[in-house]
Amino acid sequence: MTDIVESPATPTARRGGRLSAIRSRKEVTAGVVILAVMILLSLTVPLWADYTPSQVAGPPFDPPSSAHWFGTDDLGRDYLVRLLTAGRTSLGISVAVAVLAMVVGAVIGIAAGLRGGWLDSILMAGIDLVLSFPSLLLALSAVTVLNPTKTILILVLTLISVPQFARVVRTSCMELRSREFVLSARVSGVSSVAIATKHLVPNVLPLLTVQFANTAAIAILVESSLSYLGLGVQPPEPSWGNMIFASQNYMTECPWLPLAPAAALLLASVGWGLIGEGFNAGKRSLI
Amino acid sequence: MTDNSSRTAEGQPLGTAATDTTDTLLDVRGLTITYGDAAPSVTGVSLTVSPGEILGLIGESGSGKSTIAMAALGLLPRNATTTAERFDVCGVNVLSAPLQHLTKLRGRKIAMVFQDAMGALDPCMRVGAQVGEVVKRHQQLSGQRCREEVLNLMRQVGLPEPERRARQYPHQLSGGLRQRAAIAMALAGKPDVLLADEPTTALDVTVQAGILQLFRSIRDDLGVGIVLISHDMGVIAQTADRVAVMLNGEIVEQGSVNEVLLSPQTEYTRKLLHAAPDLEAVSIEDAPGIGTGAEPAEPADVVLEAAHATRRFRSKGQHVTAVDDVSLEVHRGEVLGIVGESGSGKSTLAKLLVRLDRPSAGHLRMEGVGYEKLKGSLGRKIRGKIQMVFQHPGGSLNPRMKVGRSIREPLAVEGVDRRAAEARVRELLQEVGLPEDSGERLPHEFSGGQKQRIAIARAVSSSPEVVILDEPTSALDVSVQAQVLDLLDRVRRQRDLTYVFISHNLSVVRLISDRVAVMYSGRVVEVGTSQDVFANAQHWYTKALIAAVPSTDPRRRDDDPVTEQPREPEPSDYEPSAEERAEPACAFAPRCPMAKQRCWSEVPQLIELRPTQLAACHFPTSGAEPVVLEREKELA
Repeated sequence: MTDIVESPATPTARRGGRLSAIRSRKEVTAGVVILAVMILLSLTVPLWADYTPSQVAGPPFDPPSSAHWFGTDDLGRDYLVRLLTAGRTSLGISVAVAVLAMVVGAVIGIAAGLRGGWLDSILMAGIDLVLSFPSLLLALSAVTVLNPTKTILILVLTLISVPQFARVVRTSCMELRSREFVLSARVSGVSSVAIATKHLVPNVLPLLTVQFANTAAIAILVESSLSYLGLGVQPPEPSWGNMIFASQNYMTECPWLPLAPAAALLLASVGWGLIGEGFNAGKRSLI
Repeated sequence: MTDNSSRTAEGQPLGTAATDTTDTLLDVRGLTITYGDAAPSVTGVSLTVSPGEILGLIGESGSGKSTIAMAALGLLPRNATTTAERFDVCGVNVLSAPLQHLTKLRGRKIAMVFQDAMGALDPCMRVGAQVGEVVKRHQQLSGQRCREEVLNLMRQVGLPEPERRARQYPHQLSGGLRQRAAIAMALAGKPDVLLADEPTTALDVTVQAGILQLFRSIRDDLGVGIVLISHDMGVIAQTADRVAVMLNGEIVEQGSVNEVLLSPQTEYTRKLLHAAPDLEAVSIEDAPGIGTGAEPAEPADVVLEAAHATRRFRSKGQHVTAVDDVSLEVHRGEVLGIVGESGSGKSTLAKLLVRLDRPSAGHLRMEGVGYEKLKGSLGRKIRGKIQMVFQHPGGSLNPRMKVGRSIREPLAVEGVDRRAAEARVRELLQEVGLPEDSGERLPHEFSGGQKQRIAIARAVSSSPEVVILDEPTSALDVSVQAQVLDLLDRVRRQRDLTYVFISHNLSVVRLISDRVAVMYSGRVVEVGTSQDVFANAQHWYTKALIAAVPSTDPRRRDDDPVTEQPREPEPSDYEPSAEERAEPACAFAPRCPMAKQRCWSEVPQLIELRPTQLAACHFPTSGAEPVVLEREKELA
């Protein structure tokens, strides 16, 4: 009919947001480096440390020295070893919580968002029920009623993190559900499960990464709060929260005792925060 | 006025003949606009607008039309560099004038109307107050005099019952009235130049005709110079006095509307004109390769059938019937066009046909098998036989999935193994005119037309029998549209497909369809062969719809279009009761020139007026009226 020819398919450059992409990449890199170093040190501590976390290694309240870099605590245990062992617990819990909450939240969110109708109403009613309690209060009462073991702690923290995931994923899926590529998959007879995994998951992935990092940051803080209140990780097993609690009475004489775990806590949550923030800012350019 | 304007070819600098520069409202010479470090978006553009003339600026998307308008308003983004030998708006040099000057210029001397009237109006402010604000600022009127001026303006732009409309919010107005309100706002500063950027693109065709007429009357009554930017040849042909054709930021041809559209000098204009289907100029015989025209002699073999299909939605406690008792047959191997304005239920019907939605009542049959309630593997089998192509080429492909995988998806459902599927994908890509290796790329690497080609490849990959095409070319430029229509036709012949082609664009439907169904307010009001319906419409709505399509021939200007408004009742007419007015039996009755008592009280059924044409009208346009009445008597 006509011989006007379209230009051949050429990869077009991604437009805009170059500056924010670089900035977000820097943030993500910084966060990853911080957390990688912390995790690496925590995991390898039994390999290079001269002491175990419960071993009396010197006199109590020994100030930082070449033998004990972070000094010793009230029982004469090596504080650096305890700090890193605690990191293992705290970071481990935060990652476990984020992974669990992501999986459960994404499944709930996708099911509610894709299926809609009564399933959506029921799932969201459950989510609203959890959200209607202040999350720390919910965690506190749950841990008080149940035994404060690590498993319970992880499950409780997951419970309070799931709603955010589900909400974010559901909103995005409700919008994706009416997009034409999902409709055309349905016209072709693709099953709902396949639509969810092949079409929805890849499109909500950027949201999930942001939410994952944020959840990990919150989980680490809530876990520490609970441990500080004596309802989380139980001594003698160290955690940053119970280390701060145990050392707060000696704050004036030995300030490094509460400061070291507090700093570790700060560093870890900043690390997660940077990753989350970076992904969030770069989300547009990632698509 | 149009005769003395000179014309250029191939972008040569224009020796403008509009010598009287004091009288010229917009005088642009050698305008070049560059964004950042990119290649110039507009190169060496020269154009003039005199009082009381409409300059049509036509070109495909990305040709720089809108950039020129924004430059004239001094509203280009910061990273744009503008150079010109001359760039005067009402005698003020836009490039060197200080900012206060420019601000004064805007609204008082030059105003703009945008495509999206909803975006141009403040949703939280009454329409009258918005117009009044501009009147206050530019005419320094206040109180009663301002109010009068606002009502005057609203009357001028054809807003009925201005007192009532002035108190309404934008969302309470229909699309056409909203655009009129936006035009009233643009005129409130009594500008000399009006820039209109695709002002009717988002509107239905019958509404568009009214707005175009409004532009003509603004030109004649107020002597305003208008720059009308459009991609639609018909709009330009019906409205403009002079035309400038843009391609890649350059004006390739400029001249009076008759010269440019009737005897185009450049290859590009000819191509544009050729690619734009014209309702009157193109009949099925004239367009070889498109539409068979030849009806199968044997009794029609019905592939797809809707029987009394109805779909109701509940919204805010009210029932809305989107598809109302629609019965349609789709014959094997034909292209059935479905036309209608937005909200007529076309897309809902499409969703019912492909089982994206279920009818509230009625049946759908595929080769005689009712499928509206089938589930599981049987339902999936039906799905393999009916595929769909959507309107938005971007939206119908998963942005994170390689296109090869998208095309393969329906095959995977059928259980075709991966290697065979990949071979099929390569064949399909070739069939739709894309390189074989395109399958490894992501959707964003393709243009709109190419994406639509991919969507077509995907739709036919599972060898369906019927393909539902929901506005498949509406988002594309005319030249690309022509290619996609060509492709659709070729694929249909090669694969012996049946199409249901849904579009609001009558010219395209006429071009490609064997039979046409016209929908209005959820009902099918007329069905028949393409020839019969377009040449001899029986329903008054079909007639109005066809009359409203702007012809690309400037000699055929329609100066009395059907408006979207309910017409004033004539004294001889039957005066319907309030209930009848709220729910007329024939939905078109309030707008119909033939509406009689029966139309308000008795729902018209689809009646066979001749073997190939059915219409749902008590008083069809031809003299078939008594025949119908007799037929009904026989039935009764």
